[in-house]
Amino acid sequence: MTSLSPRIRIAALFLALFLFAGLAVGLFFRASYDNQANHVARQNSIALDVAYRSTISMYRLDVETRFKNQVLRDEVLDLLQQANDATADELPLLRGRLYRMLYKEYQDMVRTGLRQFHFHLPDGRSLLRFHSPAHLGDPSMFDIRPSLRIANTELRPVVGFEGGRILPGFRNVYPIIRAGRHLGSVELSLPFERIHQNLSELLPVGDYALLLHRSTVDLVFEDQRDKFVTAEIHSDYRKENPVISQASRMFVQSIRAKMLNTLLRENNQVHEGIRRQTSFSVPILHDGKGYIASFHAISDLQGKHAAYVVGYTEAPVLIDIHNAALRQFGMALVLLLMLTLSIWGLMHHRQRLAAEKNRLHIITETLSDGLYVIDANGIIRFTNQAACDITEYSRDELLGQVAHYLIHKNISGEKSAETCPIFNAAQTGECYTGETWFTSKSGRNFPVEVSCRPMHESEMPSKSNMPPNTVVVFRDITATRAALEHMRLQSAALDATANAIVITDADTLIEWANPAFTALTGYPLDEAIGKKPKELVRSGLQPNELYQAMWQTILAGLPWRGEVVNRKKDGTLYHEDLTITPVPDTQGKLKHFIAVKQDITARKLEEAAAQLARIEIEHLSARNELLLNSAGDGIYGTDANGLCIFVNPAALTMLGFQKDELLNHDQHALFHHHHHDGQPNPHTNCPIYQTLQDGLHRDVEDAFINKNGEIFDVHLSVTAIEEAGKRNGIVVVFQDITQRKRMEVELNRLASTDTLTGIPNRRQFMTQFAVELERVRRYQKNTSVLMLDLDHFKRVNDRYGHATGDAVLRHFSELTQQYLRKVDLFGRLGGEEFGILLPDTDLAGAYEFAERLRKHVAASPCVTATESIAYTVSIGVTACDHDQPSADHILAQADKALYQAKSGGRNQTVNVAAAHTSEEQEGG
Amino acid sequence: MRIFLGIFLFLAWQAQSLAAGILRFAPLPLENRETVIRQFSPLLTHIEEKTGQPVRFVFHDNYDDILKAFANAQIDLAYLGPLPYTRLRQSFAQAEPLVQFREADGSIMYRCVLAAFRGDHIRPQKLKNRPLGLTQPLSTCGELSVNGLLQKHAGFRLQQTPYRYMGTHEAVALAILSGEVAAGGMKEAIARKYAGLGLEILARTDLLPGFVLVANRATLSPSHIAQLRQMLLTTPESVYSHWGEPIRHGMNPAADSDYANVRRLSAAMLASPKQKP
Repeated sequence: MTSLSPRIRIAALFLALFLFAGLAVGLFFRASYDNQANHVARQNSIALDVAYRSTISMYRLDVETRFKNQVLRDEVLDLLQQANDATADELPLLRGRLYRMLYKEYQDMVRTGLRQFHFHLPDGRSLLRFHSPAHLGDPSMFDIRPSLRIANTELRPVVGFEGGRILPGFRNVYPIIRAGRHLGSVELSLPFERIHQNLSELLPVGDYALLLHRSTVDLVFEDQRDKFVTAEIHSDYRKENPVISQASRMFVQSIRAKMLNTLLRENNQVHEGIRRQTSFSVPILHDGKGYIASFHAISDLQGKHAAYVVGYTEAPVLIDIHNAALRQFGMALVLLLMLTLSIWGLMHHRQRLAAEKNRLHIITETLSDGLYVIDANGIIRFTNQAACDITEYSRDELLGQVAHYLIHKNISGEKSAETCPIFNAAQTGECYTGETWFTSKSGRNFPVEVSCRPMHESEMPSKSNMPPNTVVVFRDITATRAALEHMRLQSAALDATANAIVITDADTLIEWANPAFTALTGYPLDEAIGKKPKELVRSGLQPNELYQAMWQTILAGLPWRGEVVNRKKDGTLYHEDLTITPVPDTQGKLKHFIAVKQDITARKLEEAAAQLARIEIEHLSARNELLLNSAGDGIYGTDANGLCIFVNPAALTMLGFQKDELLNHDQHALFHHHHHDGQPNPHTNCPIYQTLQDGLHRDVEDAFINKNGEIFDVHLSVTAIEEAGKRNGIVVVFQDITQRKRMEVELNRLASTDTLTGIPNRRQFMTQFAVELERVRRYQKNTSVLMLDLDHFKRVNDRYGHATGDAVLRHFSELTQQYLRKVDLFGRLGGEEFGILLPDTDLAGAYEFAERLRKHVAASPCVTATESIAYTVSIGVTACDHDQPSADHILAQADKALYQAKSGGRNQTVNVAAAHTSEEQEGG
Repeated sequence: MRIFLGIFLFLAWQAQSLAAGILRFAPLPLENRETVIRQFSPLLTHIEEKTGQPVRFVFHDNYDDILKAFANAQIDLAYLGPLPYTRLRQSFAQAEPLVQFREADGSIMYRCVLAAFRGDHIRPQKLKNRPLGLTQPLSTCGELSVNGLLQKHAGFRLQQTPYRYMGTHEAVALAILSGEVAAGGMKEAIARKYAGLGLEILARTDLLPGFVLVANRATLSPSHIAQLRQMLLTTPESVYSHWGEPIRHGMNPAADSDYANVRRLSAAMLASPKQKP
């Protein structure tokens, strides 16, 4: 599963934080709204409570007055006293008289809202219900009517809500006592209808209902139960049947009450309040309107919850509070969003800075060049690992030190920093580039190439007068110098074969010629460049066939060699040994010709050879310099998925891509997908991807493919990018080594191989001879050397031409190689002269080998298309003595033996011993 | 023109009711509306559940209005006492008795009584020129019964003494207790109900047929009426025992011939000259 990029992860984190904070703010404003709404609701609840209590109090005074004036009359008390003393048969008559006595008062009570008017005997039996006269004679109600029990046992008035046999009501029960005799009690109760009417008058904008707890209704006579129905809002509560109760009917028919009943039935706050059986109020928002439902809890005389007086009122202020909370929430969200975006932007900026810093750190740490930063006082403020490695100082040892005194003063001789160009560059803020010497911690002096540049950290000039810090990049050029020296030595090795060299393009226009050419022909380089050699030096003495043969050969991609007579600029003629080598490009197309001209005039030969050697050295030096100057390191980096995240101009130049063509693209798929040999390069073999996976540094040679599809060799230095312990990508530093490889091949070929025969040339032969000679000395081995020279070879050239002569030379070379072991060394020392080195072979063995070869040559003519040319060879043999000073000395000995063989009539072999004998004979 | 307009409006209203499939039920006008609803709502609910037809109350303040509305096809079902039924049947032959409701003792007959407060020590013979309380003009226990009882036990006719209509049986009883009237006519059951307050029965009638549920053949099809009768007669006791007091003791099939006694009493009363005091 591909992991999310850090940027997306941070964005997701901030989004989550914003949502969380938004939720918290939302909850805060929700809580704020709830607080204010509940406050308003509580105020409504208080209003309902006050109205309710006011109603009860008002009727309580009325009831008390009626009790005193209408009940506590002598005639009434007489009847009650008789009832207390009456038998069961006498009671009906007394009830009837009591009814007739107070009938009109009861009608007046009904008009004022008092519905229940009930006399009881002292034992709690019902004597007469004016509100339901036919219901009479029920036994003591003390168990179900605590108010009666209290009033008749404790003989004190009782006021409060209570259930009953006919209707629950707000009871006022008074004990009736006459002259110390308890005659029973009377009850005047207020129905909810009346309270509802008063509530509606006091709080005219509400809907009101009485919800009775089912335990209260359970007391009612069975035939009276249908006066009650289950309340919509909760199954534990009953309300008066809307069919018979106007108050209940009004409540049921109210659209507002219907709507709120539906909402409150599912409201947890209502259920919780009802569960606690306490007063509470609930603010409600619905369809853009605010409502408050107030539940005023009513307890019975025992303190047990009995009912709720419910009031529903509209509360427009809730909408105002809600809208205000929404506005505040919206503003808070906007502020929160702005704050989140600001923090996100800041963090993103910091993260980018950290990434840039890390990338810069990796680059500086990956650089093979040493780098340190000094301030205006020359004190090192920063250094990379390469600088530590090169100077052998640790980072702590470098930081805070004056660079000049630590690593520069010893060899420069500039004891004082004031004369140090690096120090001066730091003080003046100027650039400096040059070569100098540094000294390592161990005291090793080494040459360095130094580049100083002031660090301007911004486009704006510094407010202080202090010059900026200076970054110093240095490179240990010890190896470079050694390589140059080595190349110079290689060039010197060409002395023997290198003469005047001319390089032309495919149209034979001179692109470059060495000074030897000028020396040889008299044409200066600027005069020769752009012209064809034949325009300059052609003498017209050569037959056209020669040129035809030459062109046939070189156009076939083969080197051509021949001797021609050319004319110098001054008109004089000269002879030259001309070798023309066609040079194809990577596609095999002829791009250049290299002509090596050797003045075969003896005197000129040595001068030309020396000149050629110099020219060669200069050429190679120039080429090397060109390579060094142009081979700027390409640097690019990728992320963890191999997508390019940065690239430097040198890399772009080498790869031929535009920057935006590389960035965010898979570098492997773009320019690293095939090997140099055309085979696919899978990811698994890619050193860059391997470093991405295991984090190991790699230095390898590989091939890249530029935008044009051309494959070129590169040297890769691949380093993983580690950030906070996590591998985030790699940095690749690469050099285009195509030119170097081509140069190496060409130089090696030119330096070690004879182009005509394909066998080692004199330089290679002598080099390996020296190695072998060292082995002989170290291991006391027997080794012999043969010098061979084709007899009368000039005649072959003269008679058959140089091409045939070359064919004879190649024939001889091939013939000889048939006789050689793998360990033997065979080389062309010059012209028709060859040398053979036979390791682990003593003089006798070498002589025997030479004779076999000589005889075979004599018996094996060179057969061309038109001729069969017999030729012979003379051979001088010598053994390598352990005490002989050099290879040249040994060759000189063999040459002497060869000279003896030539002098002795050619086609013979002479060893050193024989040569000595012959000399002694001649001398003697 | 007004007559045509009235007929048109009536037909439109009737069509609307029938289209809606609503059964219109007229309860007794004699008791207060709260009591009526409590007593008859279970019956109406039962009919609704069994027939799938909604049933609604149609209230009228007196029997005359009920009979007019019935004859005008504004009522489908009516709960009537015997006298109102015979009066209705006499003028509107489409009134068909469905079932009679039994009394508390299980009989289908009841009596009307003449009652007074025991403390007043009143005998029927002393009632002449004393105010009497009656229920309603077409109440069986009203003029019909009181007139018969007075003739039989006091020797004078109702018209020979002042009387007033109190509306309901209970109102008559309470009017007696309060002293508003000296005596009054009511169902025997009501008089017994108030015996605990000193109400005593002075005279009783013979057994009369009970209250009847009457269907209107002008608004209900014969099959519909048969279906209703069958449904009511097969109502289990566990159901009707929860209905209101007057109708909770069961039902018997009703026939028009059951009301012959009532028709005789009625004829006797009509034979005497009517003289309203």
